[in-house]
Amino acid sequence: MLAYLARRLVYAVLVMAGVNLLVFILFFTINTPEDMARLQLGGKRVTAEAVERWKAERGYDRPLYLNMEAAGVSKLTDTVFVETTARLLHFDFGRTNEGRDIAEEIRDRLPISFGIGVPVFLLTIGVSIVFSLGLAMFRGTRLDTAGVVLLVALMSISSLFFIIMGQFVFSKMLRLAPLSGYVPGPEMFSFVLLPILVLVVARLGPDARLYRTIYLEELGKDYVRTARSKGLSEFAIMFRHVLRNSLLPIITSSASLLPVVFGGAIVTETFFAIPGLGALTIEGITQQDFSIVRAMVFFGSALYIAAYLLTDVLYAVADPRIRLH
Amino acid sequence: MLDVIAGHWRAALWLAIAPLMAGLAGCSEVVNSPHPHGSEKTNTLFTSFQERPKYLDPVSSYSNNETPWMLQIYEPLLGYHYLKRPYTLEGKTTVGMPEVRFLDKDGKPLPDDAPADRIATSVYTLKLKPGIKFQPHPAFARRADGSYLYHDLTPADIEGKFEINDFPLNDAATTTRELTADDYVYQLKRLASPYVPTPSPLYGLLNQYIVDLKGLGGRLRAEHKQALAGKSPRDLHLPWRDLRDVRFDGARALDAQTLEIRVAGKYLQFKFWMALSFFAPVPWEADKFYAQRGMADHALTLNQWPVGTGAFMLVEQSPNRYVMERNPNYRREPYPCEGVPGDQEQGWLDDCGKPTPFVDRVISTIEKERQPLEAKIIQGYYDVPQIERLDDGFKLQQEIRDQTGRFKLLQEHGIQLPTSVEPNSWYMGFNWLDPVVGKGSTPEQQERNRKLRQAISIVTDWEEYASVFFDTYGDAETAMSPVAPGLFGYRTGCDGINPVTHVCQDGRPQRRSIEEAKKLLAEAGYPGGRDAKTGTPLVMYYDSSGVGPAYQARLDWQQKQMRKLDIQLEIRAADYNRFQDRMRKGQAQIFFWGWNADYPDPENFLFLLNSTQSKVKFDGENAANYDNPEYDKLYDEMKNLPDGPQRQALIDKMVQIVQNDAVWMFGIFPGATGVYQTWVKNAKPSLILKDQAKYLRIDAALRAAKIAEWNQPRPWPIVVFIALAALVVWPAWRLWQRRERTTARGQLVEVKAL
Repeated sequence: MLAYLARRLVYAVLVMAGVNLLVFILFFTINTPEDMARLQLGGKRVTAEAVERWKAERGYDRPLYLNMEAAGVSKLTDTVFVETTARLLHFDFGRTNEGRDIAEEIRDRLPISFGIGVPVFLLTIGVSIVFSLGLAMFRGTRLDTAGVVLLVALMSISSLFFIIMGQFVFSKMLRLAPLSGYVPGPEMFSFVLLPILVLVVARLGPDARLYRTIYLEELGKDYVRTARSKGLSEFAIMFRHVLRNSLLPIITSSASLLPVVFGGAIVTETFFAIPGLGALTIEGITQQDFSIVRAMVFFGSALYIAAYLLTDVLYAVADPRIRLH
Repeated sequence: MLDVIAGHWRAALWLAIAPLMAGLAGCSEVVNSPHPHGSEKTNTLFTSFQERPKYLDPVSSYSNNETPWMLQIYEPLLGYHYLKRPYTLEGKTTVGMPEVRFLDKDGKPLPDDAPADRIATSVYTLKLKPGIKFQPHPAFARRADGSYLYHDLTPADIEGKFEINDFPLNDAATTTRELTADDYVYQLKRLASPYVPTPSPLYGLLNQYIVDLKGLGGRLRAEHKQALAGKSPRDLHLPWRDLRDVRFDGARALDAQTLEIRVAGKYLQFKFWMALSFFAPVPWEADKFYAQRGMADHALTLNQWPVGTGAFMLVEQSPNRYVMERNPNYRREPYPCEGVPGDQEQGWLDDCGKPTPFVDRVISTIEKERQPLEAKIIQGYYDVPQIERLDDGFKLQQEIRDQTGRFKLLQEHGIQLPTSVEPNSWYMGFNWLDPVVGKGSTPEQQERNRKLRQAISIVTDWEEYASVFFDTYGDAETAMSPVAPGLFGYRTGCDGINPVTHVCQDGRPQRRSIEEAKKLLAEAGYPGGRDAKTGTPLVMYYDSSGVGPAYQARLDWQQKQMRKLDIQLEIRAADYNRFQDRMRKGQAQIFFWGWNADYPDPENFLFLLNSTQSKVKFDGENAANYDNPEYDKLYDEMKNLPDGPQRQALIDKMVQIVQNDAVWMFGIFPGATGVYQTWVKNAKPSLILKDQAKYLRIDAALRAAKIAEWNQPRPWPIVVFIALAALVVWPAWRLWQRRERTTARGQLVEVKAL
């Protein structure tokens, strides 16, 4: 197991390096440091001198990849790419274009994203499992058919629609939840209820449909027939035996939710004006703030790597037959 | 446990549902408020913002979205009277307007009517009002022995501190001091200082006028460069540079209350700049406090935590919320007692003489999307959507006018939608450097190009544009010249028509016919939209900074106008950065752009066509790169004249020149409509005035009552849904129970029998 984990960590470093390079290339293909400066300095009376000064203060006055004016190794090291990547190795995410410390921003926003992500994660898995188990229990009946139709409909609808409809129905029509916004402290519950509901409903379609398929496959196996012939109730068969044997694909599909827990649901946080990590990512993109974009991509890719590593470990826990070498 | 529940399922079901239904049924308190519970009953102004302010340092702040904080917290030397129109400058922290003296190149005084070319220096002398104090701030915190509490901090002292409130003032004997003339001098020096972390967008302009500002900038830059030499790129922190002892001939404090500023030549518009936040006072104590090592790393700078003498101070900020509270040291300026006809009837003089500000707190919440903002206005959760903008109300105004949508709700809620005339414009320009629509290289080509521009100007129906896109531009007016309405020099009615595009019929402007445009087009060498020599269709290129479906309708409209002359218009849509890039390089042929006035003077619009402002040559604001020596000569004369017949005559000539040259299609002057709830008093809309919050008064009791009335929860659909769900669950439960009791052969077995 330890050798496996060590090997995965090495791969993780290589993946993160590749992601860092890709983000850098993509970002600076679309945005130049000059564009970034002018966006920050505003539209009126922006002089070339002010632009150059802005770039110099943030280290964007150097070439991006190769500095032909430097000598020796400095040709490579005295560049924006190496300079910004070197800081990343110290986990120094730098500052936003306005001067705010990004690490501090992440620390401030992480609990807010947690406040939505953790309930969404737990509820999505719980509700999807229970709902799909219910459909599997009533397989072949009209209830099952109606349930499947509902799930397909939920799958087909964009999450953006759920957000807008959720706001329209629960905030405007029924007036049961704030339309958007966030107040820290105990009052935060009223602000996160609707986003959580929307996210859970949006995930219900694809997840429950997948789980139902898995359960139906398990229900056809011999051990289920054995359990029934021993007189176990259907409830016990579904929840104690079938569910346990279906855990591997459930774990795999749930792993993709973990980055949302920590990294924030970008669209949801924007529409509900929740100041979490997702909103920070959007801010970085719209403000052409490379430091934020790179920090959030770094954070996100680290989360994905950690999530899938955890998935592999959980496989070994869920199924004793699996060994990690 | 599951078995127990299964055995007593009826009781379990009622135990689960009954409290929920009781709670929902008894639910009468407002639960959809985006604000902290009970805050609608407090004396708080609720508003919103779309984007976080980037800069709150008077050196750097220049964006419109930063003004709701800048000019409530800082107080420049001058300001505009809240009610008078046309806008009238008056002393804000000064006693009256500045005294201006003119000196020749030998320093000898000149009379007030001396010709501009003899004036070498204008000396502005301003007298400050006594007793103005800064807000309480850690920068001023001093012990009883006079030593500063927070001027010798180490990075370890700053550890864990990210807000200004993290520096308590309980142990301080004093937390403020009186404003002096030196504070304004200090700020002017900061405009030139490279030690200030963010640059000044106005340094390049002001150093042409304020004596020795450029020299000061040069001296400080050399010093700064030397100080940075040898420092590691990872650590560019420099100790605080005390600018008090730096020589500066452009401004000085004659005494604690008297400020003198020296301006090169005669520059009448300088007084308007003194109403902007660049001329706000910055105390040296704040500069020193924020310059300490570690402060910038914790976002503790003037850009995040301003220090002013205004009616409000910033006490809390987060990504989605900014809170200003009443400055306890503010001198409580009285509400004005003069206005214009109509103000009395609007109730805008009812609070005459009462001390401002009226509200205790201003809470601004982020709203990135339009729909939630409008919804919350209807719900009553914003008193005014955005203080600095007057375009939020167009859609609502249209609904009331057309009696569609939410017009009944708007009328019932009594939402106020006052309109005003504001100096801003949207125009379409031809690039003077372009071979097809530009100036032209020979006299014959110049004439042909001019006729082409005139033809296009005639067929582009701006009256229709204003009508079709009402929700974007409101009650817009077709522009006939660059000078915006409400400003000196603006002509109304038939006196103000653009004779190239309009004629006067029955005392009203009437657009010329398409036939006249076609005739001009033929004279330009493009009969029927084709080149007379080669027969190839004329294709023109329109650079647009708007992208996305919402903008498509406007682009389609532009193409439709060109089709009237059988001209093909190719759209080159790009995001704003790309668009600006193309404009700077002179690559656009036809473009659409706008201008918000910095100050209410015609010079601030006419300079947009001055050749020294060419965007391509000088990175200026003349986006069309227009270059006409006669126009420039008239501009240089006009800008130094006070308002009067002579100035009007010059403006008329300049307008005639640009109308004839048709370098711009003057487009529209957009409408301005404020949106205020019925409980907001003294709500007179303005785009020029930015410290409006202190004049607004809120009837909090009325607001709380109306919000409660408009937002009663409607839980009955949830109850119905639960009931319907129970209807589904019941047969499912029965079916499951049957299955549990059925054998493999399909026989139902009673549990008791087993």
